[in-house]
Amino acid sequence: MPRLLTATSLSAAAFLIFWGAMWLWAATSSLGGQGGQLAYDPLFYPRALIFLGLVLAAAVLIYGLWTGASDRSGQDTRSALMAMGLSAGFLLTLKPLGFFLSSAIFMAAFALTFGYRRPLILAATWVATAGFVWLAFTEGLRAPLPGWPAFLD
Amino acid sequence: MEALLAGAALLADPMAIAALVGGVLLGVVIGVLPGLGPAVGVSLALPLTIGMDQVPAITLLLGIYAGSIYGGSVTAILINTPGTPSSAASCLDGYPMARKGRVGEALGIAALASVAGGILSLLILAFAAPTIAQWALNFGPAEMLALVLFSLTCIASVSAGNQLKGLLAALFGLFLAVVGQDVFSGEVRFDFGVFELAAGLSLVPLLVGLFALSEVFWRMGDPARSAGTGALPSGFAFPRLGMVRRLAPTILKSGVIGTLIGVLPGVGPTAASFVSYAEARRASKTPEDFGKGAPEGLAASEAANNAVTGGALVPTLALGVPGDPITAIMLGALVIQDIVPGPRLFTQHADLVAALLLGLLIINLLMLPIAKYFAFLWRRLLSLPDALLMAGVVILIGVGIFTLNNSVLDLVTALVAGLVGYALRRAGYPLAPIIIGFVLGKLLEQNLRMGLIVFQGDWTRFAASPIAAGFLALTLGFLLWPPARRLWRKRSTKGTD
Repeated sequence: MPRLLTATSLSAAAFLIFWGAMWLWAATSSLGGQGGQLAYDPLFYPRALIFLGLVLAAAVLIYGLWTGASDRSGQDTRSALMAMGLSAGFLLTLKPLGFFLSSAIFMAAFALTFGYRRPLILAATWVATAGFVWLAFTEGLRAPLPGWPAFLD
Repeated sequence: MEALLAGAALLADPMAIAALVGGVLLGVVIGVLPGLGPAVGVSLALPLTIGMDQVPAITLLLGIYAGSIYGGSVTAILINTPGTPSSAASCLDGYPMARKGRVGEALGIAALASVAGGILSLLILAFAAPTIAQWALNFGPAEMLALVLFSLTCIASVSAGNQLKGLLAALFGLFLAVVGQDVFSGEVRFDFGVFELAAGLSLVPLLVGLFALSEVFWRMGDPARSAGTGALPSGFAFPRLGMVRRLAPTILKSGVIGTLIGVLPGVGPTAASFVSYAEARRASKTPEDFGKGAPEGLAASEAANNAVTGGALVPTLALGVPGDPITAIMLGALVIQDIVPGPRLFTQHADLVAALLLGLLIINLLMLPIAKYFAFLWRRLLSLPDALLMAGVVILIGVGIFTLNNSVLDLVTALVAGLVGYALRRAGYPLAPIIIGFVLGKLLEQNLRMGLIVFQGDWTRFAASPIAAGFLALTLGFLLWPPARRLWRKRSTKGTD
């Protein structure tokens, strides 16, 4: 018997929920057409997309359940989740901690988490990366980038 | 001639020259690193272009595009791992050449074939794009709608994974483009009370998250991620005149094949390189040498995949319809720079088009010296482990996105796009249709609704013109062909049992 909970069936279910939520938003929205013409209705086109999305997601779900297509990505979920968590941490602390501190903590944490244990090369890579990025954005493109935590300014 | 001179003047700007050189260099670096292809490279550089003038911004992206396609061949030759999927065919003969001690020659042939393929496709682009643009000036909403539907269906149908998933991904992209203000009524749709969403989803964080950030998660989740390679063979040698003469017909034919495949939406450089490789082998007097280090095999693959760059730009510039995710990103970059690609580009911005074509020519010519004099850099980069490289990529992503608008919401958008991109890849969905759907979404909606107004609600008139009817028939063909083929195969298998 094919497996029911596969990446394909779960993703199709997620899409069904997504399109369903969008349908609900459109159904409860107060936006309306002007003069009754379809072309002037702001929700005519998105409704058509949602309808097609629901049909296709249902088709993918049936396909996933029918074939029981298994996850053959060969991915190590734990490592991917760690990369996601660390990246999220860096992106969300970039503004409050400033570029230098957040990037240094992130690079060290990322490298150590994934088994890199050569501190000198790690430090040199951080100096090269941070130096290049800082110069390229702040000097080259004149883009505003907080260097240090706000409380130190 | 006047436009050409004006274009040359635009390129003479030091910033444009720096962008050209920097773009090719960055592109080759990205191509060399296995897994980081042109789509990741171009999306990573997109935030950099926001503060630039039009010509440097576009030449930077073009340099990365062309450079990364060549860069993929370096790892294919040195370590038998294609830096980009489009260089997979280059492994077949490039690596055996390296094993025979002909590393320098193999790198030289790859560079020469890439340059020749790129220049050939540029010539075709320079003549074909204005002609197609002239023809497309007569396009109305019905023709544009049919063309966009055709491109989307092509890309969704030929993408990796199954067709249903490709179509669902394209639909998802189209829907993301709906968020924000409706141009016809001025009403705000699907903003969920978030003020920032009223302006619509921002292209750059979405792109960077979907392609670059999801790639980082994917690479780190790969149990076979690189811990850095050891010592690699070195050298770079331009092929001798006799070898150039021997390879010229293969390069010429492969360049034409690559350009033609590049024009077709969704097919891309990987298919081009394999088709050219197969053709070179078929036409060879010594086909048994292929796979054992035949220079013709390497030249065919490299000339074709680089020729795709010029081919893919034909529909992007002439019609405003991208042929692959990379040109979709470039189309987005053009729009950010207030340039609207399409038939009128050639008449309204002739100087800019000339600058772009000249820039592409210089980019291709620059590849040879860069390939020769920076060969040491590729070896150094390949010795770095993924843990360090990917951390650097995330830092670049974070800063690039944040400096767009100093907005944490942009960072959150990129993060969510990265997570969604990873989850979709995990479930076997192609990402290219999402981005092409997003870029073409507004064009599709505008032409559909404008057509309904012009045709007074008569749907049959969308298929009334021969061009629109032709594109719609092709769309239907692309939609029905895969299931029909599967059914036919099943029946024929049953018949033989």
